[in-house]
Amino acid sequence: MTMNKIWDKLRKYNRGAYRQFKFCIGFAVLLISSYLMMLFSPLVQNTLPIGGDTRKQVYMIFWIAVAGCTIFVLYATGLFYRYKSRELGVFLALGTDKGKLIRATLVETAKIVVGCTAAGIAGGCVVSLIIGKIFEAIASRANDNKFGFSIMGISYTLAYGIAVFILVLISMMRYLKRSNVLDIMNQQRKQEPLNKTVTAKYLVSGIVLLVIGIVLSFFVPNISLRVFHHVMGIWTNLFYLLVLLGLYRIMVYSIASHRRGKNPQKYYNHVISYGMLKFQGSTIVRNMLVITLLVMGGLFASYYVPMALGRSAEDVYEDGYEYRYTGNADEITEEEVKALADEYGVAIENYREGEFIQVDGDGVIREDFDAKGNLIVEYAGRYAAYECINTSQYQRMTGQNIEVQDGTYYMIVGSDTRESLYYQFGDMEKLYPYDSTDAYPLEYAGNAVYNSLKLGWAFDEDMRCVISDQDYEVLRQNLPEERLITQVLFDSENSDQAIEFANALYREYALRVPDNMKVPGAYSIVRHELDGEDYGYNYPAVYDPENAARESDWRYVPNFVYLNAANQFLSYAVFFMMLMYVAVICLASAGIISYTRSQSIGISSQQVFEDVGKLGANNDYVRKLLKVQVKKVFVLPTIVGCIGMYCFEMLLLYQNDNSYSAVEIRALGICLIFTLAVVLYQYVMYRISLKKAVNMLGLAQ
Amino acid sequence: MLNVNHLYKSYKTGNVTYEVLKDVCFKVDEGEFVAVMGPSGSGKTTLLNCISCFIEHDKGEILLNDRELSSLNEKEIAKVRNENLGFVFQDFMLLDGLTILENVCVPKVIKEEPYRLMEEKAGALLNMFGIREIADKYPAEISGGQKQRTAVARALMNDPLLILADEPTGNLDSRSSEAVIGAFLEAQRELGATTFMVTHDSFSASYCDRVIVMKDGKVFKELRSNGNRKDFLEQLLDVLRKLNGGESDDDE
Repeated sequence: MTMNKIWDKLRKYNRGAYRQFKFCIGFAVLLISSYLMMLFSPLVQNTLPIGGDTRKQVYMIFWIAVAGCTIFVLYATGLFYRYKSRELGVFLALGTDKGKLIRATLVETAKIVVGCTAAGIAGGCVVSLIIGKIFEAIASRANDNKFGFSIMGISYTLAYGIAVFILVLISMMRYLKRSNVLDIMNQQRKQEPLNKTVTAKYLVSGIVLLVIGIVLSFFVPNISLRVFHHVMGIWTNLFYLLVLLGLYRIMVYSIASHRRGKNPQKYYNHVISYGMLKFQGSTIVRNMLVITLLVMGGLFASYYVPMALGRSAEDVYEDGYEYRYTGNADEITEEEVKALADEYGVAIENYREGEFIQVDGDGVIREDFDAKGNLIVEYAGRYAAYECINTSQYQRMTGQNIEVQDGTYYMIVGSDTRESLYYQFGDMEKLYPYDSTDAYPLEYAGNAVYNSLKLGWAFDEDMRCVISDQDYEVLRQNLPEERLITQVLFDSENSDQAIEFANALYREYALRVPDNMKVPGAYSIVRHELDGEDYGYNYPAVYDPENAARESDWRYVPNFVYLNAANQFLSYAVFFMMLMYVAVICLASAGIISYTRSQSIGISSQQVFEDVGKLGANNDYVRKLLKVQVKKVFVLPTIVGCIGMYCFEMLLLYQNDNSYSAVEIRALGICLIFTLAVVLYQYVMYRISLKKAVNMLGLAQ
Repeated sequence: MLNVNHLYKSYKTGNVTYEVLKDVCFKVDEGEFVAVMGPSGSGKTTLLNCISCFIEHDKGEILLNDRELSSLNEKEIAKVRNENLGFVFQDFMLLDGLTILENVCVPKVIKEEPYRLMEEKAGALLNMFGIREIADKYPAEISGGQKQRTAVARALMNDPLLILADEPTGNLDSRSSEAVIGAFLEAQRELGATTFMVTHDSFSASYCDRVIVMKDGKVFKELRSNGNRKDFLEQLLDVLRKLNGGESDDDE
């Protein structure tokens, strides 16, 4: 019998604990490595525009996923040590050299972590390959990018594997450095009772902290921005710590404070469970808090999908096809459009063309904040080139009977256009006839709602307006053909052929545009003229004539509603998938932490259950006690996590414009379904955990 | 009350069988305070565990009020433990997260009885054993003697037919032991409780009505007190000295 043989035997005896540890490490590495492989594959890298918001958000989400997995790994290490501690203590008590023991344990742990990390990376490769190929097939209509393993992906994955290795060994080392044999031996059944005297005041203070935290971190910055036009800065996020502290107190109260109160019978019916819970102590509260945060993280990620879909579905367009081009373009004519439509068996309906003129005008800049955080409001005499249409053409194109007096204008807006801190109606007060510095005053008279004619946000450079026929004639004089915009609107049935036709039309349109139209979305001709060569947006537009679904950055991008709707999910698919990954990581971590916690409750309560059994409690009764313990791990974190996140999402939507649109309500409905799915998931995990704990304690009969 | 007839119990380790109880017969009458003594390995604790139904016996019968315990299923055994037996253990087995009053209430909590009667009864028992003032304290805050008196009070909560005590004074100093034995006597006097106690402590046993001395898994001798505790203690020590080959198991 050698020491190695003893270790082998102990490993076999504790194989459940080893299996759990290996699974947790392997699972965390698998999730992160598959995420990294996907993220750095050519498929994703070529789909997300460099420097774009989507790419930034995907990276941000990645860090959330890393945080979730790291918590998970640390938890698994702590749990594994608890299993190992007793045998380590026995070895120490029997005179084994501590240094030798630490070395042996670290070598053993290192071997496990290396094996699991390798398995996790291999699994990650397989998972990412499967998902990548599925995604490649789905996205094939949108782009030709192929899934593949990249050097970057593999390098970062290895770096994460090494980080996990170091993290586990450091935390294991920390545990092992404890000098007291008894501490080590007792680690496995260590109880951390809540010694605090938890009164109702403790609960109230928790609620107060929670409310103050939410008010200071969420409402106060919003009110400051809206009412005082003052941005308070990101430091206000620190107040979210108060929210955490408040939650901790509420959870401690839920565990530690049970009083005879007004319903003594109920109190006595559960008095044994209450006592046991109190003795599970702060560990259970910490776990509950982590589970709550993970549930919230998972929901936050999963909410993005309905919210994004909801937002983009918000515009209800009157026409299926909209595009525009400048007068110098040799663009596709009405006959050519109809001939192309014929090729695809699509019937064009209600085709019409109209003319906008692009005229410089004044405006108000609201972009930056001063050193004190107050919004800088600055008038600009020459601010943007606005697109104007005359009343008769507007009436013809839209069928709306709008009357515009000379010297006034109506802004063309969408049904969802609203004023905000940065954008306000009627900022433009004058236009400048071409090549003239003499202002042509115009007064804001109201809004004309037509979604298919609205550009972008409908403000600033995107503002379009309806002016009187007479004003139009004056302002049109001497304009070069680049400033005469032909606007095309028409419709067709929504069908597969219509989508094919739209793809072909997109290609034709994009191939024919002249150079002056190949500008990015944020391009401003006025700023370009004023800033000259220093102008930042003077770079070629990003679009692909062969691929309408690819995310573009193009001021003259056409709006083919049916094609966009078909491509919408594809356009965001990468983003959605990444968020779903985060949701899966968070929820899997929450589920596994809840599960393992339930098993530790079973182990640590075993003695109490035996004692209660000796006092006459049958298995049914003991099962009931166990159920209350396990339930505690799941119920409150799930309720707080789900309700908290849902309310937060509602607040986010509400603070946009102090109301809920029909689309937002629909998105909230989908979020509710997601929330219920998470509740169901937690319930299933609860049933599995309870069953396992019942079997483990031999209470099945 | 309790009849143990021709009880056998053995343990098997590999091919070797160890006979721990061999044809043990005795009875305990209602209201009696009986102790079981004997050297280590004589089978005292195994006997108690068989009566408690914590372990199964091989042969023989254990009748509690003429009811054979070995024929009961898990639920029935739990009911008997809860309603007909009261337990006092060497290491107290109090639930750390509950107050003393709540610990005493536990048997009735398991029985799911109305709280009012439960509290009244627990209060009365705490009064009887002189521990009323610690009712709201937690086990970690009281002495060993107080813990064991709490355990005795808990054992009496459901008016059991029989209290089974396993070395109740084993972890206590002499002062606390006296207080605990006093609690058993008080229970016998005031409530007519029947107690069956396994002990190594001759001093504690000398308060009993009868002592069953075991040796090698058999009943070696039964001694009955004549009412004079000191005489009974002498008698006990004498028997134990003979049993151990001239040395008493413990000294007063």
